[in-house]
Amino acid sequence: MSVQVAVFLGYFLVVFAIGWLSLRRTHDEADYWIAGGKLGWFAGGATLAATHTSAGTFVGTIGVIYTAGWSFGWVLLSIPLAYWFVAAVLAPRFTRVRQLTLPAFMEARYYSKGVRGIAAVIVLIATVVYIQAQIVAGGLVANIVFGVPTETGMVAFTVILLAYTVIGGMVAVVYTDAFQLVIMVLGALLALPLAVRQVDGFGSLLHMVESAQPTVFQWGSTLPTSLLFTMAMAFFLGSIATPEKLIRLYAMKDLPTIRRGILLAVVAITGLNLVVFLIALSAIVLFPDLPTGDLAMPMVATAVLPPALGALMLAAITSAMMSTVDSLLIVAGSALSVDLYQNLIHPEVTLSRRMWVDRLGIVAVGTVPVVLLLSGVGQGELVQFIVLLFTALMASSFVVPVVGGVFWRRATREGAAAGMVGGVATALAWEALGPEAIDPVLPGFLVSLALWWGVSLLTPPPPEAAVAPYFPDA
Amino acid sequence: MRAPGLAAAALLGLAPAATAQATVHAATFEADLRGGEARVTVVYELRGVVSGTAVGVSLLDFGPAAAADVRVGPTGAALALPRTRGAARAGTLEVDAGPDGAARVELSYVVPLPEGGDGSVVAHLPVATLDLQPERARPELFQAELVVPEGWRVTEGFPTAMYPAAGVGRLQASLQVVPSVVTVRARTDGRTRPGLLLLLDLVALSGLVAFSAAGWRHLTARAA
Repeated sequence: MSVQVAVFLGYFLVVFAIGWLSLRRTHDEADYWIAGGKLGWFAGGATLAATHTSAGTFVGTIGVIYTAGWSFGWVLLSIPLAYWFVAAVLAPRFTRVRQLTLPAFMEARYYSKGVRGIAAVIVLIATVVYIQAQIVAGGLVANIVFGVPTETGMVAFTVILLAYTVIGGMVAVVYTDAFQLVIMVLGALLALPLAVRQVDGFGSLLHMVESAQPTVFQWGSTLPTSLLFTMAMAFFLGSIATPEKLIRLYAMKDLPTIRRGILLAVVAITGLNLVVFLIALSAIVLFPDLPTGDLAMPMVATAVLPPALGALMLAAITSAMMSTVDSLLIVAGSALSVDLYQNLIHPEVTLSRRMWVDRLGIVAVGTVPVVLLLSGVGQGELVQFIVLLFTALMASSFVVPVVGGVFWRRATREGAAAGMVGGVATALAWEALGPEAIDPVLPGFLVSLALWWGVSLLTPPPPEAAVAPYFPDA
Repeated sequence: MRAPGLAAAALLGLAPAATAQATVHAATFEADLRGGEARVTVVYELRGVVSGTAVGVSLLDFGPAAAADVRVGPTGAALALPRTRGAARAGTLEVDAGPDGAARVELSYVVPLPEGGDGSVVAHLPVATLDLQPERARPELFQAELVVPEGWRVTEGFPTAMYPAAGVGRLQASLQVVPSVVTVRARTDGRTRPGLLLLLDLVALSGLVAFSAAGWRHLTARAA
């Protein structure tokens, strides 16, 4: 057995052990979906950072910088700003009434099961897109490590994810996330100096990068400025209001804990992004003709690092993907089982049956993306662009009704429904038909804002009972 | 959703070359480092080539490790690779292919080796790359074999997974894609020291085991 395979097997054993131990701590649905709402700042911040640092960072970001250059790097600076906004502005109001899911928040604030159902359907659609990106990256890693076809790797990756997420729920996800964040930080920190050493240090690195790919440091030479600007907007808005991140605010025990957790997440995310930018530059020099930029990081791990550490780095990439997908499975599974099945189809369902429906929901949601990929839908895109599409869909749907809902009393259920549907439809239409120089988040967000605001003013004001919990001082 | 690849196509200035359908099927790299310089031969097996196609050749100089006297194929015709920017050099060659589109390109050159006066030596061997991509990354697409001088004790290399091959002083390595350089770090004074890579491997594995143990104790305590 090779060192790489041994490290991977050891890694997966740990993950399964966490899932099994987490099962013993899961007694009810609050445990299963939001870890009982009792997380401390380290576990909460680590799960937030690990969820954010997906394959989009370890495969996608490096892939785009490899392909398109350094100008993409500044786009990611919008992320710490978004987390500051969440900690300072959104969290104090959003967490006043704790819910199990984001659609449940929509029902509570907008006094409508229909609004909750719409939110759940949007979550499901967007999640399938995002999970596809992670599964593609998982297949690439399996191809590099085990030499299996990418498609086989995608299936195996999905099966492992489903196994521990279905078993352990949110408790398993939180603790595997903390474990995975440690691996990611360790792997990235050790990978950087070794990668730079292969090109004789930082001074030589920059000279060699410019020699190998002269457009790397040129602003706007490969990605138009308008696209960079709107991508930054997508990351900013997406970091504020994607369900898998918002739900973590409910999982932490109080506001001071949330703020400390977010600070930890910002430090970890910013540091990891800086490291992966530099690793991407090394890959440009060392591997000038990759068939896809998404292979840059797996190749650095394989060829630059020593075998065990390289395997650990690949495990870190896998960790990044798994920590994101497991969180999305929780969000999408809860949308299917809690928000759609229990809320709209079978409200009288028993607790034990509900737990089974929860698990079946996760299996169903986790299976669709890989089936679509094996059918050819979504294959061939750079991972980062799939991530951006997901971010745009979420931001176009939820930023306005969530943020606006806790700051403007007059917002109504009709306005929320119009804002969500109009936003996501516009983003999807723009993605299919609009100019590629502008990310779909811009038109999606603007349409969502206009509809939410305009329709709210044209419809009767919300009942006091619905808005009072979010505006206690008014 | 956009059709596959459309988003990637939004990257300006990345228009595919005229030979975009041609791909690298396999590449072998042989270097003999005995005799004060490295004599390098790189052989590419190509697929999907239209006969007479001009293919770009690129080389990166790694400091003083600059390839010289670049020649093509069994005829040994000289290939001009003028410096284009910084450490990069580029040229083109015409490739003939069989009726099935298969073609073979052989490039040979020499690379000066450093003196290694302090008892250690770092030998960068630039790989002449074609401006073609592999059809897909696969194990052993790129295979390297090196012969190092007697008395060299190799401590590290790039790719890092470099193993002894049959014969004295022979090393081999393989990768899923073609790199821009193959590097050998060796001691020439006969001393044996643990390499940095081995130390890092041990540190990483120890850290992982320790963290797993701590996590196990934490979770079992809470579960109990």
